[in-house]
Amino acid sequence: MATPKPEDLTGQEFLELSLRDAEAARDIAESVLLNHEVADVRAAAANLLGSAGGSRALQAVPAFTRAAGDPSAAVRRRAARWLGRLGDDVDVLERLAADEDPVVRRSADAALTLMGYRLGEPIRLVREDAADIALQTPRGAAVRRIDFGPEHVKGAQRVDAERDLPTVEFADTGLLAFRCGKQEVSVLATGALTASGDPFDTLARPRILAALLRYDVCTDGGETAAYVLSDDRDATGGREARLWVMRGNGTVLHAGRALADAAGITFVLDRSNPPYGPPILVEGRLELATMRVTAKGRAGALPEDRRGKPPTAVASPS
Amino acid sequence: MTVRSVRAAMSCMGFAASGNVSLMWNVFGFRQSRPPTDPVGGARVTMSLADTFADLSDRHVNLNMIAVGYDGLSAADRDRYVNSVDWAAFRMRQIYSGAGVGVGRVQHYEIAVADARGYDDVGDTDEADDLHDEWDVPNDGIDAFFVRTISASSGGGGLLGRSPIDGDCEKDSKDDGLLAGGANNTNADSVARTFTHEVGHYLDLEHNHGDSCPTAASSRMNLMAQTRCVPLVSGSNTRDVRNAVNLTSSQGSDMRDHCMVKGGC
Repeated sequence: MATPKPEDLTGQEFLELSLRDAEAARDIAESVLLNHEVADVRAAAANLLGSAGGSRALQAVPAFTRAAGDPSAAVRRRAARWLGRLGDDVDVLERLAADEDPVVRRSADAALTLMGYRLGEPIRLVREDAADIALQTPRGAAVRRIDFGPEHVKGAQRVDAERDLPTVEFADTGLLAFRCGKQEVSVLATGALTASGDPFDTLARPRILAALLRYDVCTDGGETAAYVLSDDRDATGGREARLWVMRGNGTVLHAGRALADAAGITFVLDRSNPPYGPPILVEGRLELATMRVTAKGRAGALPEDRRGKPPTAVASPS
Repeated sequence: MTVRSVRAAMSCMGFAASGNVSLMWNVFGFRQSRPPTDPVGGARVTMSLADTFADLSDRHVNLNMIAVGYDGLSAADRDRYVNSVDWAAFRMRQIYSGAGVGVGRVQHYEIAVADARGYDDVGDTDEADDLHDEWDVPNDGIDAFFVRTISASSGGGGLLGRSPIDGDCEKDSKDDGLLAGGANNTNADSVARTFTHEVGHYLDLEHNHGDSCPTAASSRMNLMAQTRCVPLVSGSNTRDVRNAVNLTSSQGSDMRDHCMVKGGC
């Protein structure tokens, strides 16, 4: 029996191939992205192609640029995601940021933000009001200590960080670790933090300073939970920068400030965005000479008016 | 107390014990108000009230089946996938009963495409996190999100579902929901295995292997083996997801200790 052409595979066949033999699925993903008639299959192909990591993902940038003009919003949204991580074409993302579909616009905005911090250019800074809740500690309120420890980044986690953002260089070892709920999270520095040696220079431009990695049960590896971004929107010459903890899809979790001196960076995260990030107060310092971080922090519960919404109950058919 | 009547079952599940009761809807928790059809052969499954009463009388979990973006499916796809969700709940009763964990209340919820902010298509783990951060059912059931499609990749390959290990018992916590499946997966047995596998993670079970798949046939047929490790159906390119659902007594014991597992009524 002849092997079907990529665009002739059903969605189920492509899904099963991606589970059974990811490499084989990735080999045909570009063709599926550009030619398959079912939009959701093209969108899945986009994500499979982009998550290839390394040069393979970078080679797919022209395909993502073509996919930015796809008639389906589902595909344009995924094209925006990967162009923000892999490419440097601001214009194509600006066009998507003005898309007729609100989900595409949101994805393109997030992609422009990530691209700007990745390239060191103020293309789309994180919105000033993205995180607005401070940790309140009224009597009787549930507040727990955040325990920070030494780094424990595993090789597989670093590989995952590079897969998610192959255009960014990550350090070999982590900065520190902590528990978020029941999950262990490791903080892995990027080259923006480790290469310069001059904290003022580091903080003077938009930067991705670090990635927060957690264990992923599905792959027994790591996954990137969020990025630590900085920018000098107040034009302080890198003396006092803004800090943001943001998921790769643009959801901001926490905000704060970073103060540079000759030897390192002192930081505080004191604003949060519930229900995505619980209110926290984290204070710490990075010594650049040793790349050691010390930190202490507390976390509170979500405020009553910023909790998850209940979905609609399905009415009984009878 | 031992559950011996429909009224007692309703009371155990936290429903009002008066008024009209639908066995299929209230007690068995089928969204279609009828038993699902078996994806192999198409026969309608049979249910036992006695088994359901026994589940409620012993340790059990309550489930919130949350459909995300089903209004974006064609009528035929919606019907097929609603049957898959009911089939998943039915299979969970079968699979978990052998491990000493019953299924209690099963309730159904919806998030329309217009309200889902695009998360009817989960394209990465960030979006899965956003989904269960934004939505919580305020009760003591596990929130299981069945989305219109999953386009995400994980670890370089496709993704069927996702759950924290040892999920939270308090809603509004970080790990208070699981991604149970997508309607793009048209294999109902695969959806059922993914859902029951992710619930296993939520109840603190890890995979029964590391990077390499286990060599023992019994281990490859365990529910907590990753799909890639499940043996192929003889003479086929398809994994035996229907039968690779075994749980050991040790796994059952671990799950029964989880705070989401309720004591018997």
